[in-house]
Amino acid sequence: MPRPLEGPDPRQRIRVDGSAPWRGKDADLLEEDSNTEAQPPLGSKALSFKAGMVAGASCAASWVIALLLLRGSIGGEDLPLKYLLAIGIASCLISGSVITIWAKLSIFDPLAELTEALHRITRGSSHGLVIAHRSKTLSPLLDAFGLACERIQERERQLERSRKEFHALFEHVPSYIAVIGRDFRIVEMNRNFRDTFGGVEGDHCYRVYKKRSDKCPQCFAEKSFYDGSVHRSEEVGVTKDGEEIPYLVYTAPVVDEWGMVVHVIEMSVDLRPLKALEHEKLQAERLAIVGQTVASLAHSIKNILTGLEGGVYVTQIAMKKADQALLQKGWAMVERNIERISHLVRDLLSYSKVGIGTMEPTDLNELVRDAATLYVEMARAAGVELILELDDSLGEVMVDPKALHTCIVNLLSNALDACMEDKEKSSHRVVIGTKRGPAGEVLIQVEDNGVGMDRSTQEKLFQRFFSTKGTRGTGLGLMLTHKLVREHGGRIWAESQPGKGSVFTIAIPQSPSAAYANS
Amino acid sequence: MSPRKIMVIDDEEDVVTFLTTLLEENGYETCWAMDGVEGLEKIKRERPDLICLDLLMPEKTGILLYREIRKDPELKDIPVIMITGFAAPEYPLIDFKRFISTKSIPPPEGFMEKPIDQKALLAAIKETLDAKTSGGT
Repeated sequence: MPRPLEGPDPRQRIRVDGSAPWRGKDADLLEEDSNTEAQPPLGSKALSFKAGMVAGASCAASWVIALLLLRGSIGGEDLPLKYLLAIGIASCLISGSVITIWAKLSIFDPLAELTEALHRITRGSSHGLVIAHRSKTLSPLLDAFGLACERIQERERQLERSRKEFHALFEHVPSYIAVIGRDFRIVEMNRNFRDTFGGVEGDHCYRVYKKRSDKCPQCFAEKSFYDGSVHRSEEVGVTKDGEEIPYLVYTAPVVDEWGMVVHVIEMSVDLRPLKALEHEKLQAERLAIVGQTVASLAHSIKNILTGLEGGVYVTQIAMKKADQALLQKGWAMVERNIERISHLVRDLLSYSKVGIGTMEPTDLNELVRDAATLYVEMARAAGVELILELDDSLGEVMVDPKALHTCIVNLLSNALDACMEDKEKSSHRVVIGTKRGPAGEVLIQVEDNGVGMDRSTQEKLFQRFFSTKGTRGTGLGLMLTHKLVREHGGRIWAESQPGKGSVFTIAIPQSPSAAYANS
Repeated sequence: MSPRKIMVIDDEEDVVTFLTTLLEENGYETCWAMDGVEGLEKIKRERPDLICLDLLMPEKTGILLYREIRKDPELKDIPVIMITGFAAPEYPLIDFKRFISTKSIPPPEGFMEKPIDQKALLAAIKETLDAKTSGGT
């Protein structure tokens, strides 16, 4: 069950020494127990002395009782009591001493040493745990203890080895690792992190990662504290030298013995090398596309040239024959094909651009309004109603405004064309809407009730030089739009029914990091 | 002798206008269609002496229409000059000739690339019609 994030947990044990919280429970417990020890252990000499006294007294008492019984049984009225007592006391002393020495050597000294060794273990040291005294009586116990000590020492050696390995891994892993407390302060950081982001233990994570003065609006460490799960996000941080650095971060919770999340480990990977590769790949793809498109381009130009030459020819004939109607026809051909070639050049230039430019926080609604303004007159002339349905709560989105403007203009122009081509319906409209998608992305939709498209047309929509506009289209508009949207980390798709109309949707991720990642 | 009738089939209006004007100026009678479906109907109705056929058209491509013409016993003798702008390096013209013609279907009488060379087209049309006339008589 998720726990609310309201201050530190009262049951949380505050670690004041700044040590790593995962060093191993055993080591911690040993340390804590040795600290809580109040009474010094009973010394081996005191134990032996007490044991000797008890043994001696009990021997003496048993001899006295034995002698009294002996005297009574043999009816030794003749034997004076004082002799008996003297013999008894002497025997007591001798036998008591023998028993005491035997008990001390065989039982109490080994026991005292064992006790001492156990106390050393509880103090956290398992070194030199060899019981020097040998005793036949206690040998099973001492053997078992010796074996236990060996195991403990082996475990300690393993623990130490693991600790060293872990330390080496923590410090030298090619990732940035920081352990974050509930107060968003860094408890521990590895060398890679320190060298890249700077900062010291105790600093706030947002200050070190992003050089911010307040907490990040979307904090994945906070999510891990809240639900105890691992989260993943692409972020843009700022190095200690002020360079922006894209990184992929995983936030993993560290729970205590009660299951409370006490720390979150943030493990991040530098995405710069990946970005460089992606950029290279994109460039290579672009070059490949340019190569492939040269052939198709030749086809387009040939068609335009045919139209141009045809126009010139028809114009010449019309002038020769003084045929006004034919002259208009021929001249319209020339104009149309000049326009076609200028479109083609414009689209090609847009396409050959290196890609999207500067990303900046942009009001998409404003962008849509600007684009729509360009088409108000054309729509009015064509009798197409232009409707804006904008979601004012969208806020700003990180995009290249010029690139996205081009995309919207392309869709809008296509929608108007689709309406103008349609001779079936009496009224036409184009609706441009913005709204938030189910996954938090921003959607721009251009809907028309024009001619619509069949399945095969839809499949070829985003291909090079595919056009349904005959002499008017270059077949580059949607391909360019597709490319620009993709470079924003977004998607574009179309839904359409022949005769009913089409809806084109652009989905742009809200998060700038997502856009950065795919650029 | 009545003027020969030439049919232009191309989905591009400009090409149709250009070719019909060119042909009419050179003494031919013309008719035209803007796609393959309409083209087949008009061929049957108009019975042209020669067809200038665009290779790539929506609905029914020039290749399909050509095969239908050649398979139709009444139309199969009408000479066809294929016109295309699609002479990309990966699709050389020769491939189209092979693709269009099969064992039972001979290749078209002529091939013209866009942009159309007026003199070459007129020469090809004349030559084809003359060949047909001499062959037919």
